[in-house]
Amino acid sequence: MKNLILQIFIIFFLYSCTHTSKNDSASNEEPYAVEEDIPAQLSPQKEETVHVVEIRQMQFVPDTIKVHKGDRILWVNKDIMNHDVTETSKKTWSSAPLKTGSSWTLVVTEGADYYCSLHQVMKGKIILQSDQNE
Amino acid sequence: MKKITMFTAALWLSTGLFAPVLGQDNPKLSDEEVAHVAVVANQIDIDYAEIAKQKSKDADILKFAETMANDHKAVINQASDLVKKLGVTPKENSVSKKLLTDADQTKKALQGKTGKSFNKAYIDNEVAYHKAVINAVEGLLIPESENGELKALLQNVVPALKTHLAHAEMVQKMYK
Repeated sequence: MKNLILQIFIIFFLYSCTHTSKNDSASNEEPYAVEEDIPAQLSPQKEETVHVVEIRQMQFVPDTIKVHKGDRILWVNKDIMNHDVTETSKKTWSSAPLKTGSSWTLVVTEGADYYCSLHQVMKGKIILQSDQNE
Repeated sequence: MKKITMFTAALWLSTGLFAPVLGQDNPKLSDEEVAHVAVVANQIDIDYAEIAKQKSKDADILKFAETMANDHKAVINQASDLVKKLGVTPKENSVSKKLLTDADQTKKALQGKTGKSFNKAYIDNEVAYHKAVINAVEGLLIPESENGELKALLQNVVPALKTHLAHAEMVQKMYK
């Protein structure tokens, strides 16, 4: 009888050690379905800032974003149509067409106007902030 | 008196294609009929885009046509998924029949054009057609939809249609 109680106790102990609560697992969920892997340096430990711009209802939201040099911008397509993200003046940088749910990241080195080359009236703006402007 | 060409007549018809159904005599449409009109209206613009891809060599026209084909296919896919989910079958009706009849005339008119004349005719029609479809979606299809998800899908499509119109008007300025 003592052995049986001991066995039940061990099983219960092992179960509680190997299962996390529902709340713990929910807190680890990614907010977006990201197609590309986010590089390791995006992790919070590196203290780099990632700004998220959603593409929805044929708009970049927000359409104007203020960032610092070296920050990253993550565009996430939440629309039903494909979109891309293209620098306006010289097409210095451009994403591939982004399907619904996929995303693209840019490391910001300078301010820029950008647009969707598939829907040329969709426009956005990146404003570079210096630390003194904060 | 200005001579009215076949294309001008077809364009006039396309701009007025929803006119008889947007007044006091709006037809009563079931959700099955609304779904059919929505699918037909999108398919017509895909057909126009296919004609443009066959007949035009202009980069701006070709890129615009490609976007129209892809976007309207995406809307049809959304509508198809929704009607499957709701278990309804799109049903032909007087509005969708009129759309198809008028589109046949416009397609024939477009097929008769070449070069710059085609590019202008295509983009003029895109401006007129998107204006007409926006009016129809806002003035007829959304009010006639009873199912909330069907209504929401149509409401979600309006920003895309307005963006297409603005894009078409931008391209149209190149052919004035």
